[in-house]
Amino acid sequence: MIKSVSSWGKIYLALVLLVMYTPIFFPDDFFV
Amino acid sequence: MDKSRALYTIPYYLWIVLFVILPMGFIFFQSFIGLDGSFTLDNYITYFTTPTYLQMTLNSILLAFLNTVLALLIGYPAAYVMSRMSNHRLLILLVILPTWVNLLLKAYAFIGIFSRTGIVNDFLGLVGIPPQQILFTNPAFVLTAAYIELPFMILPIYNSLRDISPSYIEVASDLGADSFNIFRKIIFPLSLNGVRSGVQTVFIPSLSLFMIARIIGGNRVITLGTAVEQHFLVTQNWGMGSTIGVILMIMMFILLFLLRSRKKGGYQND
Repeated sequence: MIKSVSSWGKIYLALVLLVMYTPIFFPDDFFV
Repeated sequence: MDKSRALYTIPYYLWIVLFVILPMGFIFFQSFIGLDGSFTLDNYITYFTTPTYLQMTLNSILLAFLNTVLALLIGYPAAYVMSRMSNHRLLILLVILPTWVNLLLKAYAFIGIFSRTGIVNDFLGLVGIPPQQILFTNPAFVLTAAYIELPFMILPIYNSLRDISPSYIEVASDLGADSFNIFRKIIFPLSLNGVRSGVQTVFIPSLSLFMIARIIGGNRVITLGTAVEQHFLVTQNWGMGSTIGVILMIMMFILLFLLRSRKKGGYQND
């Protein structure tokens, strides 16, 4: 594949990964 | 050589017979057993004549459909971006890692996130919206299920996108196609096999998700999965539970048939 990704694409991917890890690392005060 | 190869396949066939075919056979047999232990078609008659079961079936299909569409809408662009990045191996590992965390823990984490004091309501509070009841609603169930299934949508799409030969894109680009047309006419059609596998791996389990429906949906989200759980564990009507199981299996076979890959006359991507 051509290695060219716009910065919007990178921001989108970062957001998806943030959402994927939010319940694992920041499950709010449920486990406190 | 052939003899030894046949010998190696024995464990595989043994496994399939013991853990796939036999349990399915038991479920199929059990679905014809009534509450009094007699052989009957009553379970199927009850299923097809009771509006509650039909409503539940439609509800399950709708929720699984929404969940699949959401996972596809979020997953496809993510897989596309990942497939074009130089550190794609690390990124795919980051997508796979959350699947190693226990499903139950992730589902429980969403109780905190969707609760009245959770992250979502905190965010709504920032923009002046009072706390909303998000937990125990259909949208909460769809969001959680889409979250759980997202890696299983991203992986096959990512693989199919990585398999596309760069020369196709270079040729299209040389012939003057802009990036939108390259995506529409080359990348998307060639990645359809991945989309198909992703839809299968997300839609089929979504039909019978009972744990997430129970934890996130409480008693308000009723799916076929929760009905099976109730029949086996609460009402002890194993016959009816098995009937719903058989219907779920038939629905899955129909979906597999509808989404089978049609190689004849299509692109060959190698």
